[in-house]
Amino acid sequence: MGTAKYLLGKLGQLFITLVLVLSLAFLLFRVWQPGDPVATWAKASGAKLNAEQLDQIRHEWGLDVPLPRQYVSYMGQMLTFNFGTSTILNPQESVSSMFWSRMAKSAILIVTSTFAAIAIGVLLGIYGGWKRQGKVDQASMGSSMVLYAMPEFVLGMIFILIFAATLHLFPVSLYESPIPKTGVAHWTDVINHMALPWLTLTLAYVGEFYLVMRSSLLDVLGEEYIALARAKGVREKYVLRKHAVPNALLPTITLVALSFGFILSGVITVELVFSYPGVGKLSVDALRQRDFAVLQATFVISVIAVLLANFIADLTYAYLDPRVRRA
Amino acid sequence: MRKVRKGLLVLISGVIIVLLAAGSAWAQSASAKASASASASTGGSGGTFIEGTINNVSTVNPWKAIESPEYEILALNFDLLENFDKSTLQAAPGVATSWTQSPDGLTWTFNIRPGMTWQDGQPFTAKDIAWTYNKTLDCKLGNSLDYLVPEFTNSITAPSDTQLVWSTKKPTSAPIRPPWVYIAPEHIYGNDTCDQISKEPFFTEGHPMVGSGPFQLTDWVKGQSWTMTANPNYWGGAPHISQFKVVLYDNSEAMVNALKAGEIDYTNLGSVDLFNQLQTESQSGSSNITTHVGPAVTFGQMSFNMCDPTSPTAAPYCKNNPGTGNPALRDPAVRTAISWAIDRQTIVDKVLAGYGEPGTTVVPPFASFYHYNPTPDEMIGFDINKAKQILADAGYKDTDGNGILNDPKTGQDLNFRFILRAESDIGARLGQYITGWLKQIGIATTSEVVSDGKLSQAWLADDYDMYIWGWGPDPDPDFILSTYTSSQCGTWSDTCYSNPEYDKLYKEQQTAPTPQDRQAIVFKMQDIIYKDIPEIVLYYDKSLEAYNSAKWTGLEDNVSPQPDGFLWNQYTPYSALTVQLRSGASASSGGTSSGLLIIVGILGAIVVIVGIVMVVRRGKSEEDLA
Amino acid sequence: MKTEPAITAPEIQAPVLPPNKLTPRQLRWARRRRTLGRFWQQFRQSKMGMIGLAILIFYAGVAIFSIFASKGALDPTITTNGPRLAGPSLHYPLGTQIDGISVLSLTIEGARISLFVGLSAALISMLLGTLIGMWAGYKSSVHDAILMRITDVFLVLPWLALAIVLAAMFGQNFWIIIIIIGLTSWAGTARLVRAQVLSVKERTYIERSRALGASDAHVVIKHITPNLMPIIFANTILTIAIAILSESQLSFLGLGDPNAKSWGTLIEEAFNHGALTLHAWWWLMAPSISIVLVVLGFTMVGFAMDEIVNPRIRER
Repeated sequence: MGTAKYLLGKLGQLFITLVLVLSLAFLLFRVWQPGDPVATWAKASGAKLNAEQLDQIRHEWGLDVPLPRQYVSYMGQMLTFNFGTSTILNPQESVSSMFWSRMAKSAILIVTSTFAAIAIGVLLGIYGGWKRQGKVDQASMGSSMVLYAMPEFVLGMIFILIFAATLHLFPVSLYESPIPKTGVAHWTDVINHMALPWLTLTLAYVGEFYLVMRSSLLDVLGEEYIALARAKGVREKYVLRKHAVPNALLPTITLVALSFGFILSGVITVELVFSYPGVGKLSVDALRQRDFAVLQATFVISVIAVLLANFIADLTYAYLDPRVRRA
Repeated sequence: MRKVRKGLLVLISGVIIVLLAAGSAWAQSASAKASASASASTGGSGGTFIEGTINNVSTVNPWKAIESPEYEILALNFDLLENFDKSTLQAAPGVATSWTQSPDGLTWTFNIRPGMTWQDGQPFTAKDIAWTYNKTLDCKLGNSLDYLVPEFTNSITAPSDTQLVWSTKKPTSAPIRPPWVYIAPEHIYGNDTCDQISKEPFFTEGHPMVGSGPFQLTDWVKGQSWTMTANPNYWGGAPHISQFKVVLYDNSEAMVNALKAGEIDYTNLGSVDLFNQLQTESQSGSSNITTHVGPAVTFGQMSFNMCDPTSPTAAPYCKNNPGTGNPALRDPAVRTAISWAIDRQTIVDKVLAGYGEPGTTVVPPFASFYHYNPTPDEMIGFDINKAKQILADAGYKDTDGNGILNDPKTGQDLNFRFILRAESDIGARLGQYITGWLKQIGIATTSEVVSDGKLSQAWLADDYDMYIWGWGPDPDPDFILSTYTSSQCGTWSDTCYSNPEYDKLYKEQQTAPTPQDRQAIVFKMQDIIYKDIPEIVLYYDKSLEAYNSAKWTGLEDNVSPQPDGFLWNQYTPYSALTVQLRSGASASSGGTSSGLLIIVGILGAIVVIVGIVMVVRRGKSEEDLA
Repeated sequence: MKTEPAITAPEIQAPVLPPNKLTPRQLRWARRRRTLGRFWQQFRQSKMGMIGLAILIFYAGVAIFSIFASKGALDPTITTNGPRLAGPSLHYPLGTQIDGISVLSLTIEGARISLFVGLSAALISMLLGTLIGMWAGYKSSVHDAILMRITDVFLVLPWLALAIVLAAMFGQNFWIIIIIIGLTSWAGTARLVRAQVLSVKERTYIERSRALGASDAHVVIKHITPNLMPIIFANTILTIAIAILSESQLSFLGLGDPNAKSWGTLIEEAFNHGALTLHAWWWLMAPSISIVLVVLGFTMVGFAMDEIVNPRIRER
């Protein structure tokens, strides 16, 4: 019963946050955007239109109705993923159709590299926290700090310099060869192209997850019940596996979910370094060309992705934490 | 016991990974062999010639095209009335096999090649041409309208399937310039209204673009690549290659690496330093890449906001969009001083790494017949002191002692907003040089690097003081000269320059009876721009090309215009017709996956080692227990 | 995460008036000096903190030096004889870039810009975060709920996506970048401050003070704020690190100010001119290493301070 209540509460929070973010997007793209969006678009795209035609477009975009009504229809459009058509990048093309193929490419990269980073970071973190000040801990601690301090694009460029420009082991950019291959060769080709961006993202976040897991394990190991268990003569490994790690994982999950927004930000620069045709690249292109329709979609969808990631983290938390489950 | 099995499991999975890697390597080499043998069976021809570019295509509507890759598609997919001659780029027989001008000079008659077909099999006749031209005139369609000299044209008709008659009010050479209007199929678009035709996409997924050229746009992954398939029935003979593909890159660097890796075959490079490196490698014989320095077709210009709404001769667009240009820039002395303060040779040496020429007039030297070279007296050089003197003589003094000159009329600092292009490799750097020189003569700048979209916005609103952009003019000077006429303010004019004398000369050159007469007028017009300085031609940059010569042949002997032209001329189809696989070269594109194999190999090895260690250690500890 | 770190409150045990009759004001300052001295003693024990501090002092020196350095070395129309893209040599210890300008000079100039942007953005972030956190923690549950929802929004927002949108709309310049980073990084501070306020405001001496008729402003300024200062300070140091990283990311996307070139802008220029393919590693090296070192420096100092002001960590 308690779980249902907890989940309902979280769902409610998710909804409120979503509405707030979409309202922010509405303010940004409809209210605060300097100048008249239609005139801006007409100038930037080089379209030569008379006043009547501009009014027609204003009507098509739903800009000629009072703001409150615009707000309602805007929310409806966003929640149904109706982002209209691209204005400058690929004029007339539906933003959604531009989006989904790139979304898939970004998603593969983000999901696999994040999970790899979590797995490596958490495992190393457990080991480092357990054998504190040991050789592994000191080495991991040092490299984690450096990785944390290094912008993702610098790491990416180091890899390009070593593995692509000098050793020629990997292609420098793109998602696949210009002439797509078929069958097994297609997938080896894709993996080959994805290797360096993947490695960059994974390494960029291992450090962070290591630091989080290590300190959270140290927190738990300082608790009284751990000392009690040890005093009772429970074997050290058992203490670690059954008491310390599960409890230390909880805050780690929260922080991992919170950092998802940062990971998405990092993906943007990494995709740029490797010319990887994903959503991050798309948003940079939209930025450079001032294609606000596309920019709006990349913004709203990445925010929704982050919110969902947080919600999933909450669910996991509820599942793992007996206090939440029982409460 | 359980632990031992776990170790074994790890060991086994390691072996499986290694086997998988070997398998995928084998599969890959097998598929490469298969594609190589497939290309061999077509007799050494065929293959896909891949170009890399950094300029996106946003429309293929022939009336809407602006960017060079858009014109490249159109030039291969459609025909013009006449072709460009390979060596001189003057009109040569093409769709029109011959033409005559009536003795009074008012009527041009063209004989149209018989038996031509559209790419969908329908017959191509003179009526298609007449329809295309009349549609352009009636609907005032976009960028191509001026080629049809609407003010002088009486009618364009097709009395028969093989004849086109063009009559004009005054004698003009416009019909053999040739007019840059791609001929579209009437049987597809004949019923379109003006509004519909300007919105026509011309290509949708599954519906290739129908033209009459040697290639047909068959696939377009927006923002990534576009593919053109050879038209075996092209009137000029089928191309050797079966496909021509263009892949969009973000930056020249990614493109150069792709070229080196064999992923693309050809590119026209914007980056002089990367080109330099390719050339060094090529000359030392360590690469498959051949480089080619082409003609100086394009130029970079620095434009001043000339829109002066208070002037009686101001263009109507300028009056309606007065903008925010700094009035000091309307003083010729300020512009002349700025021109003297810019060291064009240093720009060529440093920013273009020597691949260019210092700029003078607005018709580039590559259009040799019409390019005007200023006389030594007229020539503006680099002389900071002279620039300072000009400003001092015109009354500009630093009255408030902050190191920046003040406008005697308003007392304001001479501080100009300076817009630079983010899309250009060199935009920001040019800005830095010019800012430095202007500072030396007491003029401050506030520079901003913006996207082309933002720049067009500022430019159309006349909301700037100075900016740097570039032009890639036609072989014929008409278009580039038209951009300085007052009627182009708000459309193609860089600066909203308005000069009634210039406008009059522009009309005159259009109807000049002989090329020599026209040349004289065109020289005069260039001289006016050079002395009046609505904009400064900073440099003519050379076209820099590189291709994979180990794989392809047929480009070198096809350079146009000759002798120092392009390998791959983007507005003629010649190179696309003659390029072919070098005998023995494989049709499959390169790109090794050695990196992947190494990774998989290392992973496998690690897993195997861990497995062994686990098995051994487990065994040991069990011994201990025993 | 589960419990908020408890802050010891020496004020409770403070003697009423010392025998040598200091005014309350002097007393306060004396106490602060003592606290600072104690803090420094503890900080000196931390190897990590001292290394970080050394890095920061070095770069602060570089940044100050750049204020007085001649700008001519950066102007290609004045420094005209530099070789283009030359590797490190005696004359150009860090090589030259594409216009023949010394990468060393550019990196020195970049230090001032990067540090200034980082510090100013962190300052905005700290002020916003502290104000909102205090308000939420001190005021009623309604204010708290609303403010915390907004904070949550900013906490999870993919900040770079938001920054891109803001930069696209409001143009790219130095101050806009500072404001954008400030506006997108305050949420963490707000949460931290709120949690601290919640734990501090229930202390007996605050209740006593309130019972004596102290106004909200008095309680917040005289009692709560001094308690929060150490934690806010440590947090701000960490925020500077993030702000410098953020600035480099924005600049790398081409949103940097061309008239004030930070390290991120230098890297962007090098990358866009093909430094990787040209094997001109020296063009990228100095600015990249500088970013990493400075961020590392701030992070190390921040961690070290966190260990001191956050007693829970110290016990380990």
